[in-house]
Amino acid sequence: MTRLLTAAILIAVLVGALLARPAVFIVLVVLVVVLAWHEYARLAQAVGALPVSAPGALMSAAVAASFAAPRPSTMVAVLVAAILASALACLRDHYRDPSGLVRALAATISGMIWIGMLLGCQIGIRTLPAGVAWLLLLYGSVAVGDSAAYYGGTAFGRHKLAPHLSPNKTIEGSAFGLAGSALAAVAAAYLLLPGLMPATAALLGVVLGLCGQVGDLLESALKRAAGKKDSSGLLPGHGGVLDRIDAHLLAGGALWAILTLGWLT
Amino acid sequence: MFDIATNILALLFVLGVLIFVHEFGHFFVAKAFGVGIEVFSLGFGKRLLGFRKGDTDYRISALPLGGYVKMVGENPEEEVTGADNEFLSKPKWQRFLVLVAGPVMNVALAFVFTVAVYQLGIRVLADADDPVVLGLIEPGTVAAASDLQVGDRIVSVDGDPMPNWEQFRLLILISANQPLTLGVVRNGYELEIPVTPAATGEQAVGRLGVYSVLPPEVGPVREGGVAEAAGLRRGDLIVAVDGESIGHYNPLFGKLSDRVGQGVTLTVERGSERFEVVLTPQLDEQGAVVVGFTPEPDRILKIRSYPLGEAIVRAGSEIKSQSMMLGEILKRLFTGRMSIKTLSGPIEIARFSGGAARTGDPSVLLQFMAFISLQLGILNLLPIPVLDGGQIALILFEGAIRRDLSLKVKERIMQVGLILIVSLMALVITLDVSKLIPDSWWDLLPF
Repeated sequence: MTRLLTAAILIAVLVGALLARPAVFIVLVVLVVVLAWHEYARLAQAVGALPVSAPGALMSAAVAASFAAPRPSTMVAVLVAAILASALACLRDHYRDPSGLVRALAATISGMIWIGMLLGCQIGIRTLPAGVAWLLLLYGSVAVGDSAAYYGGTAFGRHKLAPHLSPNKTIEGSAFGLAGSALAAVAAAYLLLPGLMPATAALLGVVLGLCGQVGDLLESALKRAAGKKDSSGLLPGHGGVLDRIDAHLLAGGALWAILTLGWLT
Repeated sequence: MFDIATNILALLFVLGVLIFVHEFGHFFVAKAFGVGIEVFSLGFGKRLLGFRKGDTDYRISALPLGGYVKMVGENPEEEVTGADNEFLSKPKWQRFLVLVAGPVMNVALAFVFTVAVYQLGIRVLADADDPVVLGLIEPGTVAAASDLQVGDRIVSVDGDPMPNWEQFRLLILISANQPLTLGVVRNGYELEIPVTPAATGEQAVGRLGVYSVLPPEVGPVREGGVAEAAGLRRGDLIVAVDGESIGHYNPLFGKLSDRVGQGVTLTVERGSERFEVVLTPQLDEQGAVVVGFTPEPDRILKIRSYPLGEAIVRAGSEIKSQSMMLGEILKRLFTGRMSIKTLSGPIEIARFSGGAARTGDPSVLLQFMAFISLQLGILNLLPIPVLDGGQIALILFEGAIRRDLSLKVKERIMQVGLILIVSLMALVITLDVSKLIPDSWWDLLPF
């Protein structure tokens, strides 16, 4: 029940933010970036890489927000500035003892890209024409794929997918997940994006589903390395923010890239 | 910051009174039937303060978005012993009355407050009771693109008679993107004119772009102001601006605002005289345009007050028409003909409460509280589980099938209802918060 209630609130907040003006969605994403960054920083600390915490969160937020900028060059400029600032912050922390510098810098910049940039892609999608419809397709195919993988795996799972990273995932479950993602994308295209052919939508769904599963595995691996079950206890019944968005990170990035490159038009 | 503080205080006061009255309804009827009361709480969640009297703990709790009365033996999962003071030991009709008492008290409160408001006198737009005769059609609006003309009298909408501006405005407000057929009388002929009000503003309310007759007449003139310097007097009628004739007050101010710092020639009628004056609009410290005069206040707002008898009758019909309007709004929300963005949650209610309180006019606050109380009463009667109406529906249903549903089924129904209500709350609060986020934040960023 707690899990369902939390999910209901999260979905309602997301729907509200999508219904409102683009600025509202941007604020929501930036908030999620900051929360997810802190969970990431704690996981990274547990494996001995010390990202600079507060500056990292700020830089990640800036990188995410830069996706709302009208000119692409702005995004690059913000990213470069964020890398510079991170380097300075890491140097400040480590200039007496440079032994951990490379690990700290690597953890900071990869977190900035993994969370700030990939979540920022969703801001980028929101500002595109029919952005809300594309986002709904993204969330739909990742969520349906996730559920399909869980139920398909529970019922038919025989062969382990990645026993060292996430012991409960199976190849059968993964296949069900991809099929679910494809179906959800076709349904979303039919309902929301009349210009998108069903075959293209199915292929897109498979790509997004695959990215979702890889993103999921990536976070599982990070948690496993850190010896934690959840990224935090912020969302009752769901673990942390990072647990909730892990699958959407790579998938959102992929969708933004595909749309920006104009492969679907 | 001062506004935020008064908003919060006003919200606590408004909701506190309404919730107290609601819970008192449940409490009083339950007591009357001999049901034991364990807790009487304003607010949900953690107990903040309170006192114990008899078997009842009277308390104020942390989350001020509701309240509850916890009766003995109310929860079927808990120990129901069959003792006489338990809620579930009471016959169905008694349980029904206990449940219905809360919402009924809210409707009653709305009624009492509305009677008081009518006695104190209510401020309404001056044209509220006037027939819908068009005095101005704003360029670039839906009305301007339609066949409507100044001087037309709108007598019906979709076949329903339309007696006055007040009702007409309300209907247009809730008819965004809805095709309407206006029955119009022009020069003694009856016409039918189709219009579709545009959706405007953050709340996506309907707008047509028509105004009632408001002559371009000079009201109070500020001493030492630019209008006095130009020689204008109260009661002057401005018939032309720079030789361009003008028939309505609204465009007058617009035309003057465009000419700040420049002399504008106004053609004035005073009695039988007709002459020209030159007025120079200026900016004040806040950057607002100053023209040195305002319209006649009683042409904008008027106060309606009524003796007790008529106040009761009017309050009754006001409550009825507001209830019908609420029903209509619910119908439109469910059929998707009205956007969910028009709903207001606690934050918006706080802003409105604060605004009402800051006017310093008790009748404004009473009117607002009556409005919210009525909504609280009626919405609580909707057959949604966890609300009073859901429990009432369950009792009626069990009465109709002549047996009780199993605990498991009831529990499921409650869970579905809880999820529904919590989602709706979260959605409405998100939309509330989104109204606080200015677009301009974005312009502050360097990219």
